[in-house]
Amino acid sequence: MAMHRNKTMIGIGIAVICYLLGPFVLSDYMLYLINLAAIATIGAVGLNILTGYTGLIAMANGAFIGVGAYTAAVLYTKLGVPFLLTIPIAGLMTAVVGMIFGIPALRLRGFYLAMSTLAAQILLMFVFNNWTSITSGERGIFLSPPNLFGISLVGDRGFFFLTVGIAALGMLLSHNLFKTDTGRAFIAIRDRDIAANIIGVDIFKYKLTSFAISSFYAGVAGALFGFYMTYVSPEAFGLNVSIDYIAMIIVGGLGNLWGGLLGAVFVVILPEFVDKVIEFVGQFIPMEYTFAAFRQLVFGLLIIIFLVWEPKGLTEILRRLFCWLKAKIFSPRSEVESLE
Amino acid sequence: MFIQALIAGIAVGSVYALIALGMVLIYKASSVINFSQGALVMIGAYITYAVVTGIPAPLWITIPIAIVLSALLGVVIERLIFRYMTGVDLIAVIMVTLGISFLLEGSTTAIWGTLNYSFPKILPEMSFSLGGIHISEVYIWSFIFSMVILVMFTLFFKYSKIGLRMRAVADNQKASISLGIHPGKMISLSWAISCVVATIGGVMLANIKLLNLGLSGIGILVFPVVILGGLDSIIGAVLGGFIIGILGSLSAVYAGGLMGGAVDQVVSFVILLIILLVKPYGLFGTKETLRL
Amino acid sequence: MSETLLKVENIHLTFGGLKAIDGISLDVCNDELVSLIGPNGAGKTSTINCICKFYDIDSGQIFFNGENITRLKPHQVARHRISRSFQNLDLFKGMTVLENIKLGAHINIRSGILSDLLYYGKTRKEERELEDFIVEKIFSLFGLSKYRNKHVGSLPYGLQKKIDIARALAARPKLLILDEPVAGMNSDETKEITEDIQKIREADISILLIEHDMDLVMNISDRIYVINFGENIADGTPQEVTANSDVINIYLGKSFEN
Repeated sequence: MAMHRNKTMIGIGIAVICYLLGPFVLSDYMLYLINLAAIATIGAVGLNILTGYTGLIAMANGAFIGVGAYTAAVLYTKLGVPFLLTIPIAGLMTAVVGMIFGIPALRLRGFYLAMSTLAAQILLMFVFNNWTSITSGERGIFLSPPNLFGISLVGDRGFFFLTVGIAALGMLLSHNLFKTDTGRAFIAIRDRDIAANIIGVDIFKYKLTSFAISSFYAGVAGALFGFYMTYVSPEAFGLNVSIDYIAMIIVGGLGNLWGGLLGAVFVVILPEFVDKVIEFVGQFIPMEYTFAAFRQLVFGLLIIIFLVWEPKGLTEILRRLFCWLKAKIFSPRSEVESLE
Repeated sequence: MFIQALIAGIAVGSVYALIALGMVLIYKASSVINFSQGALVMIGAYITYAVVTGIPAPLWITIPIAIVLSALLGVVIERLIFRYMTGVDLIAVIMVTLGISFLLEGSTTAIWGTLNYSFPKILPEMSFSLGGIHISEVYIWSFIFSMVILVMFTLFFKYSKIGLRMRAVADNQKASISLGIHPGKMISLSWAISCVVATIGGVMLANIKLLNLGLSGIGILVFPVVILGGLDSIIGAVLGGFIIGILGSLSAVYAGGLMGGAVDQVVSFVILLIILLVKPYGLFGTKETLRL
Repeated sequence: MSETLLKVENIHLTFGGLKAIDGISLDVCNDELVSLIGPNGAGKTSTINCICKFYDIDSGQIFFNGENITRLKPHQVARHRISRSFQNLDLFKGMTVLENIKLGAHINIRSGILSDLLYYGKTRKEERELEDFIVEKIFSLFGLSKYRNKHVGSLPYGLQKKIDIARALAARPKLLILDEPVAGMNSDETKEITEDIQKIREADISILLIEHDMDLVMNISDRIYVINFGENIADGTPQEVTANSDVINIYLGKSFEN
């Protein structure tokens, strides 16, 4: 037990050092990727709470992130709300919207529930595009770089502390949640909701709560995204984004704390990686229509391979890898003995 | 104006019906909900285009080739992917079919690019006037095709041996094995037929509009159709297709000016939401029962 | 005469065209162990499903501790301190043994969502107290300590049955409903469960038991209700019931005439 504690302390120590030094050591491009991955992590951890742990399939994460982004943008540009304050308010607003769209989910299951969230995605996109008095429709909203305590947060470096910090906080809260009764209620709803109901869990209340928490995360991610990009427009919140987030939690690992993080990193990094490979290969083989097509192709292929090969996701693959490594490192003697 | 919209709606609706039929078929045979149906429509159209323009042979040779290729695609997808995914959660199934649609869309873009192509006229010319309004032959053929396929499917499932076997497999795989039915073969068959139907729909659609990547976008409208009609109902798919098609067309014509693009999508999904709240299994779907 | 804890009054239940329950009445008093027996399909599980409000009854009333619980929702019924085990176990496969049992105590948890997210204050205290309670009282009763962090799906059937009952106990119920707790068990396991049930009784918990194992039922019940085709056939003490000729004809068979 004590050894476990020390290992955790060392791990946290290393993480804190990386966090403080990171922006001064890494290139701007790396920081950019990390920032995007951190924002995606927030959204993915939130979605995992709803879909991975509570078992409610939701296809509207993109639109909910949009709600957060637009809320923050409107508060900042039209009402002069200070930057830092817009983030939690965006979260709350999205939580409310999430609960409203969660109401049809109360009586629906599985595919039908997913369909109601798909409707939410379509309807919200329509609102983004057409409620021009608030959202400026396709033109989008421009945000001037925010100030935090007088220091201008331009650039990847400044944002790094904010996005990674909030992502870590989000993971901590999620970790806490599933040590407690609320978290257990969520999992029970996923596994056997009728039995949970009979045991005393108010299914309606907890499903709505799950929607609220998940949407809060999405709203926060949206606000951060909007400020980071300094621009908010509907294309960034479409169905393809929602699908990306589902891919993240499946690839990362459903119902697992690290699933959101691993999946987010995977989905954010993959297109960049594919681009680099295509660039390299393109020197030898002439290719047209390259980047977008191959990104999609490789993404689709990897999703399929993942799901056929290891439906439990990256967390399971890594876990098995660690076990194998541990066995190799800590008991090589067994190999020697077996030879005799 | 109204009649124009109505006719266009019926035509588009017949395409929706075809696509929905494909989805219902796969669901009936294997309880898989295929989110890549739209992508199959698109690639079916492209395959047909490639075969018809690429092979210098008369249509009565090239079209069957295209159909066989589509059927093969369906079997390949089923064999390579779904064979290994029995008993998996719904969300994994959804994601895999989405992965398939990315793969198909990506491949299509990689091979044919993002340009628009005009689809060769493969349907016999036919002029038709209703009350002084000219109706394009494409619309008529779409309608005819979907009606014919509807009748064929209904008869097939009700009366043919294979149809009966397919229903048995969908109902209870283990029991059907003990009866000597090959679930694998039945499911492959359902995918093959589904792809062929999608191809026909794709060709119709490409004739009505253009051949481009946007064809897969129709995939999303199949959901209001199957929710309205019922996920496991053939009649529901067809009726639902027409209703959504007509309502979509009418709303695009009358409300499109007011509210901007994609009104038909929004209207269809509002209908979807209403159905979910009122009668989730649709007009003709079968209800699931829960046990404690 | 002890107070009536549970009173089921002339309930009726129809499925489609089928009458599953046609006027069943029963009651359980404080500190009693009452058994509900009858052939398969008699309506036993349906009756307790009605008590737990999984089904809505067509007519009749159900009272618990004097309160009318007929129109309540399932989770509200649980709040009255009625717990049950399930015929199909219905354990939460995604959680460990300890977590499953902890959720059983859901109705007793007071800390809110915000406190849970922060794992702070009330939540921490309640979690610790709950865990202590479970380890001291429940684990020791069933011998589950060494399985506390195992996932329930990987455990043998007999153990899962015990966990199901343990989960029901975590709520500290006034009435515990057991739905065929020894079904599928050998005689050793049955003996263990019988002893466990005795210990539960010592903790002042009333029990409503559904079982087919006649030895068990005759040994530990205070009173027995016999039902068939959704109707009451007979009730009384074990001696009275075994002497009842209707019961012998329908259900027990001639060997019970001694």
